[in-house]
Amino acid sequence: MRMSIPADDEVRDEPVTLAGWLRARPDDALVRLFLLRPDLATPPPPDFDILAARLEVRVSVARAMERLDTGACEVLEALTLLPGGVSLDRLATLCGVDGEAVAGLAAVVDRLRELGLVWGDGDGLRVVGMVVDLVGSRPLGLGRPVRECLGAYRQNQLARIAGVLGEPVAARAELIETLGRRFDDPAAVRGWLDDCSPRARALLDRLAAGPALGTSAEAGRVPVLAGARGPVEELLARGLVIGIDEETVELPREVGLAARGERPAGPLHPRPPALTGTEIGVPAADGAAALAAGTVVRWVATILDAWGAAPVTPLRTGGLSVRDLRAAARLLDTDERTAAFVVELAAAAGLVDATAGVDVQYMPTATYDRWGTELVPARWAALVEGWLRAPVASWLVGERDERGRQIAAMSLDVRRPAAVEVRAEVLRALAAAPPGVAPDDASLRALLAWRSPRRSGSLLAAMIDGTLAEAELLGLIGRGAPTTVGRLLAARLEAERADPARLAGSPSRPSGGDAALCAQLADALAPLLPAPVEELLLQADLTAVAPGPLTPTAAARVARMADVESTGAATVYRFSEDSLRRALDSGLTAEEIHAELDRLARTGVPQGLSYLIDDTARRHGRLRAGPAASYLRCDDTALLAEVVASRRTQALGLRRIAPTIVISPLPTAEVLVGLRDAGYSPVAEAADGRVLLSRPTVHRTPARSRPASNDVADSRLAQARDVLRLVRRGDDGAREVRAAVDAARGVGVGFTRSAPLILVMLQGAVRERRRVLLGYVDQQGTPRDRIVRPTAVDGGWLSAWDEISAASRRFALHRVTGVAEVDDTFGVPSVGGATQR
Amino acid sequence: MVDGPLIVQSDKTLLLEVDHAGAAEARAAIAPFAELERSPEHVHTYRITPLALWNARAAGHDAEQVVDALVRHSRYAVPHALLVDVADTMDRYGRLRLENDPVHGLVLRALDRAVLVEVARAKRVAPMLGERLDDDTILVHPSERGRLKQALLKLGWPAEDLAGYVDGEKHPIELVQDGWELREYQKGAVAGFWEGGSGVVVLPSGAGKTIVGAAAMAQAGATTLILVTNTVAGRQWRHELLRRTTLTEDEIGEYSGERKEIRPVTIATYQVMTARRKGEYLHLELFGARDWGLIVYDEVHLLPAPVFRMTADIQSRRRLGLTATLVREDGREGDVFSLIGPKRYDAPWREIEAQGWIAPAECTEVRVTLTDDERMAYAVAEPEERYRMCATAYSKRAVVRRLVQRHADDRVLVIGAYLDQLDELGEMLDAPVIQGSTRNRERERLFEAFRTGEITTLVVSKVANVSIDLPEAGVAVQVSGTFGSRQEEAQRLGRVLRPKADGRTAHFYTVVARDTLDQEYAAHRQRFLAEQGYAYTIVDADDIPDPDQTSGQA
Repeated sequence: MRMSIPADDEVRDEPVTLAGWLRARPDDALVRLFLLRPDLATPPPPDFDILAARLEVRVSVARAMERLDTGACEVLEALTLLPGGVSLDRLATLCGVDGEAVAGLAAVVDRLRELGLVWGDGDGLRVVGMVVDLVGSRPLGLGRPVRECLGAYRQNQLARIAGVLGEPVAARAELIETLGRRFDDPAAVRGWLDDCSPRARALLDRLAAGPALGTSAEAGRVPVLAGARGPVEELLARGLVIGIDEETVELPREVGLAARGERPAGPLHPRPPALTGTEIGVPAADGAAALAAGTVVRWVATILDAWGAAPVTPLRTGGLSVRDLRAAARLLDTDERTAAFVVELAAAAGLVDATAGVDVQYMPTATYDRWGTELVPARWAALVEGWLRAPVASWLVGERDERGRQIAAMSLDVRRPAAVEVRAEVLRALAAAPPGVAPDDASLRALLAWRSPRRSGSLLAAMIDGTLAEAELLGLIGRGAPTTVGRLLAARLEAERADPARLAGSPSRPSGGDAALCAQLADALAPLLPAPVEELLLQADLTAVAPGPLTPTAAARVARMADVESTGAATVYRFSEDSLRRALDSGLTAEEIHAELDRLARTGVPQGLSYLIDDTARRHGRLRAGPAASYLRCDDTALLAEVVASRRTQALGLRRIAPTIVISPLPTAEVLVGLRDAGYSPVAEAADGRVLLSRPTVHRTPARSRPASNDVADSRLAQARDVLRLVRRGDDGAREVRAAVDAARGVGVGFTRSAPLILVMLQGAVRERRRVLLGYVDQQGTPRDRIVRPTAVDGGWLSAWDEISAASRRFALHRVTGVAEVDDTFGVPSVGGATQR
Repeated sequence: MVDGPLIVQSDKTLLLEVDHAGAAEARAAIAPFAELERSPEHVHTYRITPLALWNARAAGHDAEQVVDALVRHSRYAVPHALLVDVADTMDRYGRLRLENDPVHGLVLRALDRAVLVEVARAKRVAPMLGERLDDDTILVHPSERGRLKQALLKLGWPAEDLAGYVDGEKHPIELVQDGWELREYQKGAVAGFWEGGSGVVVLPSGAGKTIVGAAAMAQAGATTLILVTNTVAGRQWRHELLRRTTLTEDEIGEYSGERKEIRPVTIATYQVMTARRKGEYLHLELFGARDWGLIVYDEVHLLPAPVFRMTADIQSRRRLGLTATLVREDGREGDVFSLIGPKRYDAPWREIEAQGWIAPAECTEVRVTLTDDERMAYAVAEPEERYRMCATAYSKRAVVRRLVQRHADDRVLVIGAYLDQLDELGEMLDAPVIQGSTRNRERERLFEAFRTGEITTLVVSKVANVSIDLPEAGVAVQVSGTFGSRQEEAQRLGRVLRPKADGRTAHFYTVVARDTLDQEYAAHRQRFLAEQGYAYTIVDADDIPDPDQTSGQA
C-alpha cells in the first residue's frame, strides 16, 4: 500500500517537499504529531499534500509555537536566519554552541521537528514557511536584510551611500542590488565597522545587541560623511544604519551579524532561569497546607449547607448575584473574592449545580452528600481535583467586563479556557523551587516567561496572581513555598505533559473525577493534618471545646446539639436551649444526648449543662401539633366515645386526641357524609383553626452528567491512529491520480488546484518574492491565467503585481482556481528573501 | 508539631488549656497582648484585638515577641494570615505621636509621612489640627488632645501620647502600713499604672481597688480628684483613705449633692458631675477648681457619657481607672482606651482567689417551682409585667427564709430589685431594708451595725450593688435583679468576696422561679461569672432543709 520515498541520493536531485518528507516519516512520528497538534487531524486530511498545507496554517502554527519555551523559540528564530536545508552543524555555529551542548541543541531541534515546525533531517533542516512569517522579519533582535532596509530610501539618498562605498550611480533597483552585494561580504562590513568613531561603534553595538531599531530625529536624512555631527549621523552617512522612516533607524542584518562577531545569534537562553526566594522550611509550608486544607473544606461545607437549606436563585443572565455572594462572604467571615473562589471550587468539584427546568436554583448536588461523609483529606482532594481541571478564573468575579457589567460568580463570564493550562504551568513552575523555598515573584515570573515566552499580557499576569492566591488557599503552596501535596500534584502534571496523549488542553475529565489522583492526594495530605480527636472539654459556661479536629461522625453529632462559636484547628461549641431543641427535633432524646456527651467529655459534664438538657427535653414536645383534615368536637364525651367506637365510622379514620375532640385525615365533607350515613347529625364548622406544619425540606438536584470518557488518553491515541490510516490511504489515491494526469499532459505547467495548497503556495510566493501563474475567474465569470508577483495574502485577498496590466491588483482568493510555479526562465533572479541569504 | 497548651483559632481567639503543664508559661506569654475573654474551668479564651495589641505595643512589646509567643506555645500550625495581621496592626501604633514641642507646645508628629497626610485629610480629624509646621509635624491645640486621640483610634492609627502630664499641685500623701501591707498584685498594678502614665487597672471586687487608688495617690504625691458612683461609696473611700494614708479629715473634701467641699483630695459623685440645669453642666468647674495632679475614676465600666466628654478636656492630667470588669453594656470600651488610657493591669478572679486575697465563693442557683395559681397568673400577665411577676413570686419567700436561717451564724445580705418584695422580705425576716430613699445617715448607721454584728441580716436594693464595703458579709441571697445585667451579678457577688477573718467560704444564692423569664435572665446574668470560672450549682428549693422543721423533729 505505502509508497516509500526513493533513496537518499534521489532526494538530492529532486527538490524536497514537506509533503514528501511527511510521507516518509514513520507512523509513530506522525501519530505523535497528531496527538501534539490535534487540529491537524480534524477533520482527517485526505492526503499528505493537504496535511503539509495544514502545517502551514497560521492559527495552527501559532498555537504550536505558543507551547515552545524560550530556548526552543530562539533555535527556531535562528533557523529562520539560515537558508533552507541547512545542517545541524551550521545551526550550532550560528548559535555559538559546540562540544556537548550540540547534543542539547539536537534535542531541541528534535522537539521542533516532532511538533511539525521544523522538517528535514540533520543535514537539511528547514522551517515551515508560516514560522518565518510568525517569527517576523527581525529574529533574535537582528534587523532586516540590507536590501529590504534600503527600499525605504529615495534615489538621491541611495546615491549618497553609493558615493561613500565608491559605487557608480545606477537605476534604483540595480543600485539596491549592487549595494546589497557589497554588504554580503562579512569581511568588508567588519572593515567598515573598524572605520567608525568610538561613539558610533558603541551605538552600533547597542543596536546589534537588539532590538535593531532605534529612534532618532535625524532618521529622515542621509548626511554627507564629512559633515556628519554625532554618531547617528555618522552611521547614517556610512550606510551602516538606515533610516526606515522619519524617526526610526534600523541596523541591517548584515551589519548586526558582523558587529556581534563570534556569537552571531547573540546571547541565547537554553536553560530555564533558576528560582530564588526565601527559605520557609518544609514543615512550615506543610503546616500551612494542613490549615488551609481544613479551612477550605469547612468553607465549602458551610456555604453548601446554607444553600441546601435555602437554595439561591441565579441572575437572569446567569451567575450568582452580588447580594448572594456578599451573604456567602459574611457566612464564611471572609472577603468576596475568597467567597467567589469557594463557590466556584464547589461547582468545579460538582458539589453544587443549577437545577434543570424553568425555576433555576443553585443547590448542592447528590454528590455533596457523599462528599460530606468522607474524611477531610478525601474531601479536600476532590476539591483540588475539580479545581485543577476547571476552566474558571474566579478572581475575575467582581471585576467589570468590556461592557462595564460586573462579572458574576458561576456565570459564563468567569470561564477562561486558558486557565487550566496556566494553572498547570504555574504549579509546575512553583515545584521547580527547592523544597521549602518560597520563590519570589520576580523569579517565578521569569521562569514562566522563559517557559512560554509567547504568552503575555495583563490577563496572564492576573492569572498568575490568581492561581497563586488559589493555590495558597488550597494548601498547594504554604506561605509561598510548594507543599508536599503541591509537589505531588506538580509531579503528576509534569508526567501528563510528557505524555502527548494527555496534552493539548483536553478539557474532558472522567465524569466521576480522577479517583486515582484523588486517592493519591488524600494519602499525601492525611499525615500533614493534625490527628483527629474524639473528645470535648465541657465547661460550666455551656461551651465545649474540641481541642483539635473532631472525627467527622463526632463532629456531625455535636453539630446537631450545639452551635459553633469559633473555628480553626479547634472548635468551640456553645450549648443553648435553641441548639438542644434542634437536637431533640432531629430525633435525639435527652438520654442519647447525655450518653453522647458522657462518651465525649474528657472532664465530665457540668451540672449546668445536664440541667439545661433535661429542662429543654422536659419542655420539648409538651405542645403537640399534627395534621388533620377535619375535626369533630362535642361537649358530650360519651357521644364522642360512641362515634369513635362505632363500626360504621371506622372508614373515617377518627382519632380521639382529647376527651372532647376527635380528628380525621379526611376532608370535612367526607367526614360529614360518613357520619350522616352512620346515623349521626353533625354540623360543619368554618374551616379556621386548622394547623398545618411542614417539615423543612432539604433540596438536591441530580449532578449534571459531564463529558465522560473513561480513558481519555487511550481513546485519543486510537483516534490519532485512525486519522493516520485515513491519510495514508487517501494520499496513495491522490498520487496515483496526479501521476496519471501528468502522464496524460506530458511535462508542462502543473496547476495546483487544491484550496489549502493554493494558499500555502501563494504565501510561499509572497515570502520568497516569486512569481506564479494564477488561474483566476474574474467578476464576469471569465477564467483567465495570468502571471503575477504576490505581495501579500490577507483577509481573503491576494495583493499582487500583475505583469499583464503592469499594475498592482487585488484578487479574491475564492476566485483563484489554481496556482502554478513559474520557471526561472520567466523572470529575473529573485531578490534576497529571508530564506535565501 | 509541638504539643503546646495553646490553640490559635482563625477568628483570633486563643484557647488555653488550663490543665496543660505549659499553661502557666503560655499564659504569661500571651497575657500582654490578648484580652482574657472567658476563664471557665478547663479552657480559657483570650482574644487578640487591635486594642489589646496596641496595649501591648504601648507596654513595649513588639510584633516579633507576639508572633514568637503564638508560634512557640501553639499546638497546631498558626494561620500565617493571622500572624501577618498581628504584625500589621501592631505596626500602626506609634506611627503618630503626640509630643510636647519646646517651641510650639503640643504637636502631632509622624514617623510615617503618608499616615500623617492620610489622617490630616480625614473629615473627622482635620478640624482638630492646627498649622502645619513642617512635613512631619502639625500643631494641635491642647484642648483637642483627647478628642484627637479618640478620632485617630477610630481611624485605626492610634497615636502614642508622649506629651507627658502636668505634675499638678504638690501635696504629700504617704501610706500608713501598720498591720497591713500592699499585696504583690497591688504593687504590680500601681507600678503598671505609673509607668504607663494613665490607664485602667482591672481587679475583682474585694481585691482592694481602693488601696490601689491610695497607693497611686501616694506615688503621685499631688492633689487628687476621685470620682465615685454615689455618696456612700464616696464616704467609704474617705474612710479607707483616712485609715490607710497620712491624710487627715481636713484634707479630704466631699463634693456631692449634700456638700460642696473642695480640698486637696476631693471625692465627687458621677451624679453631681452630670447634673444639669437648662442643658448646662453645673459642676464642670470642679475639674479646673484646683491644679489636680491625679484623677481617679472608680468603677470605670459605669462611667457616664458626659464624664467622658469632660475627661477629653483634661488629657494632661494623670488618670487612673479602677474596675472589676471592662465589659460595658454600652460597648464604649474604645473610649475608655483613648480617654482614660490603656489597660495597665489585669488579673483573673480565680487567680487572686487562689492567692487567698478574695474569699472562695460557692454559687448556687435555687430553683423554685411556682404554684399553679402563680403559673397561671404569670401565663396571662402582660409582657412588660411578666418578669416582675415571676421575680417577685410569693413562693420565693419560704426559700429565702430557709436560706437565711441556714446561715443564721453568718452575715446575710438579701438583695433584690423590687421594693414591695424587699419590704415584705424585711418584714418576714425582721431585718432592716436599705433602698434608694433611705437617708445616707441611716444607711451608714445600718451598715456600721452590720459590720459590728449588731444586725446579721440586711435587705438591700440595688443601691448596694457597688462600692459598699461590708467585709464580713458572707452570704448573699439574690431574689430579683435588673433583667439580665451580667455586670450586676458580678458586682453582687463582689459584696461577699472580701476575705473573711476565719477564712470561711462565701455563699451566693440566686433564687429563680422555674420555667419562667426569671430563669432565662438568670442564665444570662450568670454567663459572666461562669466565664470567670464560677460554676453555679443548681438545687431545687425543696432540697433546702427547713431548719425549723428539722429542729422541730429532732
